[in-house]
Amino acid sequence: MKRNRMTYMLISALLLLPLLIILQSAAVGQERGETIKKGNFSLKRSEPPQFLVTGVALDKLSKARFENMALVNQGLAGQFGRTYSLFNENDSSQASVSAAVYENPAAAEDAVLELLNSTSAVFKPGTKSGAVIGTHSWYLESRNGSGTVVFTHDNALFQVFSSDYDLAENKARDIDEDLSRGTNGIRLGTKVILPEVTNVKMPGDLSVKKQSRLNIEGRDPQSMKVMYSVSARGGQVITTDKHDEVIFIPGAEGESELIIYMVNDESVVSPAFIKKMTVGRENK
Amino acid sequence: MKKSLLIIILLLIIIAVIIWLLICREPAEIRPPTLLTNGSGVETTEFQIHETILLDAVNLEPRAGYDIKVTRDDGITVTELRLSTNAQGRIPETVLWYNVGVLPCPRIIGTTRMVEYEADYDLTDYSFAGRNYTLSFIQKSQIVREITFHVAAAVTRPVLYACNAWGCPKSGFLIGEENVWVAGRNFPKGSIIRLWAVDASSDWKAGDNLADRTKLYGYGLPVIFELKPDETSFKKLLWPKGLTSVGSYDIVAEVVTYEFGEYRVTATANVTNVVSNLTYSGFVVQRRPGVAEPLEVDIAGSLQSPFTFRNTFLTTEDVYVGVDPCLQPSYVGQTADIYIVADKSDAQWTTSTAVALNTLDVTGVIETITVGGICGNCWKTLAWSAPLTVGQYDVVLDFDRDGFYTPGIDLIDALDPVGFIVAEVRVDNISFNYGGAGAITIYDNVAGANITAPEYYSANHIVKPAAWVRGGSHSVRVEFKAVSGVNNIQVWAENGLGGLNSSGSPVTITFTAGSGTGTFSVNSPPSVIGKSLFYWDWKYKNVNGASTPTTEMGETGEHVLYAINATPNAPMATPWVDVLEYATNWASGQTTEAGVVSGIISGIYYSGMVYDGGGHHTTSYGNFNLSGVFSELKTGGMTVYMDCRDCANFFHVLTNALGFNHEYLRIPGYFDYLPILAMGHGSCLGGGWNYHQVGWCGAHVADGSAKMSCTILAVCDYSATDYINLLTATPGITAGITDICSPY
Repeated sequence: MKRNRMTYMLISALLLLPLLIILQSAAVGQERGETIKKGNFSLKRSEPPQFLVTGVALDKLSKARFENMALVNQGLAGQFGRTYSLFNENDSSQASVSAAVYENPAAAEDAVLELLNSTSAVFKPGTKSGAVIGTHSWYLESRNGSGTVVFTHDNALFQVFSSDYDLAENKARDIDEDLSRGTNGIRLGTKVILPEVTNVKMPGDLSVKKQSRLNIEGRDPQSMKVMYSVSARGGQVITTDKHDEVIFIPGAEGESELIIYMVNDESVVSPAFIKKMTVGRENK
Repeated sequence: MKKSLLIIILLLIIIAVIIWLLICREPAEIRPPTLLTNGSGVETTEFQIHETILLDAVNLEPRAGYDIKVTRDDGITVTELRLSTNAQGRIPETVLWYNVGVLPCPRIIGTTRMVEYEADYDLTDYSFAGRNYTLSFIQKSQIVREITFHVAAAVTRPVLYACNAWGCPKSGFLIGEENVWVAGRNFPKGSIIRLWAVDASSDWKAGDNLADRTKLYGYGLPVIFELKPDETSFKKLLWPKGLTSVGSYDIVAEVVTYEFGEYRVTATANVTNVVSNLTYSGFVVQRRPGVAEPLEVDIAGSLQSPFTFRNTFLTTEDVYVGVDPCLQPSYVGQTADIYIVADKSDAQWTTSTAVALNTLDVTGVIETITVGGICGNCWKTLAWSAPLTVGQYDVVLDFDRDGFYTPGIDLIDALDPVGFIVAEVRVDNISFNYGGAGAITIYDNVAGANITAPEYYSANHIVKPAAWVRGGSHSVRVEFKAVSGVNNIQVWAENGLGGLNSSGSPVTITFTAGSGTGTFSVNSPPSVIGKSLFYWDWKYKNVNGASTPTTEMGETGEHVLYAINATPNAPMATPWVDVLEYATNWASGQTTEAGVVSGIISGIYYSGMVYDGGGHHTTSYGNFNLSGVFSELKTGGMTVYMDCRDCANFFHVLTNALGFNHEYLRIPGYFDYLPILAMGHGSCLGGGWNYHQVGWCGAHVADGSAKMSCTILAVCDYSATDYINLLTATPGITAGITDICSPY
């Protein structure tokens, strides 16, 4: 009887072992060559590169690679870095390019899966032409001819959109070359120096519907100009004319949360700074 | 056996019909591919003589050319056009057939006849009446679409058109040279009619205030008249040539059965109220071809630091003149003689260029000014020193120094309206959003700051927009400046929003050290959602309690006012000006939530923006780069690409700015969607989505990013379940979270 039980346990352990190994690799997902999956998208972790992308100056890059287009708008794309919107009024062609630099390739790979899952449209792996761009790439071509190429190149993440898909893919390929060579506003190095959000100062207690001005403190060791992207769970964030100040209006009593990213002038994205807050009832 | 099978089939059909009746719904909005409207904006295929037919067609090949032909039932082609579609495959509204059946005026009339005639020519070709017509769209010699319409045998609706003195239809008039007449037919017998010439607008809404541009009140001209008991037609002088002003105008004939001055949409359905050319200009007043365009600029100003242009001066103030070298760089280094003369209208200046200016100058001295370069205060010259004489004046800078006003060379301040006014009192500033006013604080998203009162300063004509909740009672606070000796006056304003107070109930302003402030009631605050642009003409009387006549104090404006539905809500509790601009435009004239939602969703869908799922202005569902959207919208020629998140967020940003409480709704999970017609796309196709984000009105879906089933725009008339059933056949898809976005 005892021997039987031991045999069962042994057989069970042998059967469960491969499953445990699979589960462990999926949970860690950081090991090189491992496949990670999020939602409908997956990728294989890349090998460590010789050099990392340490900065992307979008102004220089867009001047070089979108030479006939004028800057219409620039902004933040949250954890996905900085965005430039560009337009050529002579031929009405237009494009936008977003760049984000993370600490290491794994962070860029996690971010790109997050990005792909956060868009409604379903990107296809690779590129339409079959050309290899970056470490991992996906593309989307709209029925009216516009299109987007999303790719990582080591620790950098790019989104290139154009009113003409082929143009988007060509520009993505050009940028990929710059990323390899360290040209046109791309800096390469061995270590990424991350900016960091250090604190959020609140004026006092938070209560439902009460406007509170929050001051964000952060530091960029490279002393570059920085922008903050602030989003909230359980309330609304209103930007002010000061780059490090937002107005927060809690929507409900209880726990709420601020998620803050800091992005410097060279598109280097800080780790997320999450501030949990307790919101009191509405003062009427 | 066969019989029972037949019965089963019949029963199944009956059940299917019942299910269809119970479950299936009418689509929210299905417009015909080809839309024909008359000049009053009424969609119809039954027209009448003297009407203009307008065409608007959709679902054609994008950016393609079409030959458009109208053929009478006897095979005669009556009109032919060649039109192009836009990127969305639409031929936007355009005139298909101008003045159906109207013949040109015989040439002889203009040269031989006297000014006015009892009997008008009948310029109608009745062979066009009582006939059927076919409108054909031809591409590459193939008819690709046809629609028929009818021109009625008899005139049943009222007709109104601009004409010359003999009743010949006419749409262009020369300023100062040609009187504008108006002819009407088929009006109610014996009715009292009031005629208005108003600024041309293709956007007339019920409740809009009418602002007459002829300014004939008090001149005894027949802007109001009564038809005889058996009379249905009229021809009246609308605008004498000496008073006309260059511009594009609509004519409104108001059958007076209620208070004056408000546009009534019911008019188009019923013959008795108001008739207007809703969708195209009634007439234009223009300069004679070949005549140089006048150079009309601000010239008169006061000595402040820097020099500031001004419209009204006190009798104790000096009048300086200056030319802004930034606006007139070609005049830098040139010298002109300065003439200040009694005010003349554009029409009068146009026809009196042969009058020597020195005979008109009121100052006694003809000074000169040399236009300097970029030099703050150095390009001003004292032109008239106090004491000034109360009155209305123009300034002419005679650059060719020939002593006459020469359009195209000399600068003038101004043709229409008055260059400047001299009075004992003037408006200094106007506050809309002052303590207790109940106005809405709004945010200048370009300047990055809230807009503060006063919203209007007379110095340099500074105008900032304001916002109110529609309807109710509203007021403005006005600060005046007066000369010494004026201790109190009675003030009111006319024109915009029905004016402020009135001659019969003016506001008494008391002055201390030359300043006085008063609060004025707005007579007709906007009753519907919209944007109002208007002027106020200020008047005063009874100086120091004595019975003194009404005196002009000058004009203020052009004021900008947004009327919203209720107090705005997050995320637009302090609405952005650009948000109000779009929201009040797309929801213009609305008073209900359903109307607003429909207007905003249609506005988004038909805006020219294009759906692209690649992700453009939103990250993480709710971080919405609204300023980026506006930057792109304001860049001429640029296509704004939006995904469903952008559309859902834009929707509730706009509606909540108007006072509603909407959110976005996420529909999570991967699913194949059934064919949709995406915003800005020409073809209806299916596909797959990771998830979908839409607008949410508490219990119903609003979606401006695509038409479900290719035809249905969800405008808060579908529950989430019904909407999802329209969207996809993938099982297990249900509504997810709702929230508001954070625009930045």
